[in-house]
Amino acid sequence: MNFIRCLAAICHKDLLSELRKRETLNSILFFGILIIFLFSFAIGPETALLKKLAPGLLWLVVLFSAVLALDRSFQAEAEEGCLDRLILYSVSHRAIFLGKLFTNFLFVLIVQTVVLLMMMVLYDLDVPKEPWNLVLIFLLGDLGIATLGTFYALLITKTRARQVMLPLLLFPMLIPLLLACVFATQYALEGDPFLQARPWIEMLFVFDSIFLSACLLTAGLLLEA
Amino acid sequence: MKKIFQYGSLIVAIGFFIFAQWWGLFRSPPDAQMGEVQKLMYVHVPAAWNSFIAYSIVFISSILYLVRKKMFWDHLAASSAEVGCVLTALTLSLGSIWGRPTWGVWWTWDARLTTTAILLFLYVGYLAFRAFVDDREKRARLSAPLGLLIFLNVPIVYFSVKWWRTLHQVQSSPSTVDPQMVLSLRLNAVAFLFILILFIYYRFHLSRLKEKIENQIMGEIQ
Repeated sequence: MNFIRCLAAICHKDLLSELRKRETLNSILFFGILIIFLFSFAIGPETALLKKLAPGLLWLVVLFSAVLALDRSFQAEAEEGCLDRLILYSVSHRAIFLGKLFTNFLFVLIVQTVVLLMMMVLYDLDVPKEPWNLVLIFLLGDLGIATLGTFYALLITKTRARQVMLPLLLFPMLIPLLLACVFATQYALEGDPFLQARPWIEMLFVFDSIFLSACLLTAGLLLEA
Repeated sequence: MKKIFQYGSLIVAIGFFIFAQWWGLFRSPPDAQMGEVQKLMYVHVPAAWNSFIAYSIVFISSILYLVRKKMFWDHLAASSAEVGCVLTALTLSLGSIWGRPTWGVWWTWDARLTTTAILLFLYVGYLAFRAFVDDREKRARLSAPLGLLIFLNVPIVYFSVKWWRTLHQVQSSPSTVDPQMVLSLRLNAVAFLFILILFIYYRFHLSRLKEKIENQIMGEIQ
C-alpha cells in the first residue's frame, strides 16, 4: 500500500506543479503543432502525399516533443539537491521511478492525442478504420517511450551531460518501437483486413515488457548512484 | 617476465593476423562471380563476428558489475565496448566497399546493414555517455544498467528491421563453399579473435593504470 501511495504522491506533486506552472505541456504541445506545419512546408502541400506519410510523421513529432518533456522531468529535482532528499525517504525507489514514469506517460499520451487530432484537420486524414487498435498502439507505444525516456532522463540528470545526450542515447534505443508503431498505426488508420498489424503490436508488447522489467530492476541502483 | 609475455603475445597475434590475411589474399581462390572483391570477406565477416563477442563481453561484465560491484568489470566493459565499436565501424565500411561493386550501391536499407548501423549508434552513445561522467565509481554504477539495456535491445532491433526489409545474402553454409575459402575465413576469424583479446587487454590495462594514477594523485592531495 505504501508503494502505491508513494507512486501517487510523486504523480500528484508533478501534475500539480505542472498545473500551476503550465510550462512543459504548453511548450511541447506548441512544439508538436509547429512541427506538423514544418513537415508540410518541407514535403509540399500535396494532401495525398501528406496523408500517406502521416503515420511516420505522427510518431516523429511525438518522439521529438517527448524528448522535450522528458528532458525536464527530473529538472525540478536536480536543483537544490531535491533528488537526494527524495531518495533518503524510506520509500521504495521503484515507486519513485514508476511515479515519474506515469507522469511522463500522461504527457506523451496527451501530446500524441492532440497531434493526431491536428493532423486529421491539417492533413485531411480520414476517421481511423480501427479506432480500438489505434488506442492500443498509442498506449503501448507511449508506455515504451515513457519507460526508456524516464530511464535515460534519470541517467542524464545524474551526470553533467545535458540536453544533447538524451536524444542521442534515446532515439537509437527506440528504433524498434518507432518501426512497430509506424506500421501498426498505418494499418489502424487505413484499415487492416488481413490483420497485418498484429505482429507489430505483439512486438510492442514484448518491447514494453522487456524494458519495463529491466528498468525497474535497475532503477533503484540508478537513483542511488 | 611480464614484459616477455606482453611482447610475445603481441608478436604472435600480429604475426598470425598477417599470416591469415596473406592466406586469404593469395592462397584461397577468388570467387567465381565476384572475383577478387570477395576477399574483403576475410576481414568483413571476422570483424562482424568478433564485434558480437566484444558486445557480449560488455553485457556479461555489466551484469557482473551489478552483482559484484568490482571496478574490474567496469574496466572490462568499457574496453570491450571501445574495441567492439572499432570492429563494427570496420564491418560497416568494408561492407560498403564490397557492396558498391557487388550490389551496385554503397548503402542499402537491408536488415543486417541497418541493424549493424544501429548497433554502432547504440554503443557509440554508451561510450559518449561514459565520457561525460567524471567520478569513476559513479560512472561504473550508471553505465552498467546502460550496457545491459543496450544488449537487450539488439535482438529486438534485429527482428524489427528484418520484418521491415531484407536483401543481405543469407550466410553460406560451409558445405556449399570451397573448402579453401572456409579455411581462410576460419583462419582470419581466429586471427581477429587474437587481435580482439589483445586490444581489450591493452585498453583494460590502460584504464587500470589510469585508475592507479588518479588514486595516487588523490592520495597526495589528501
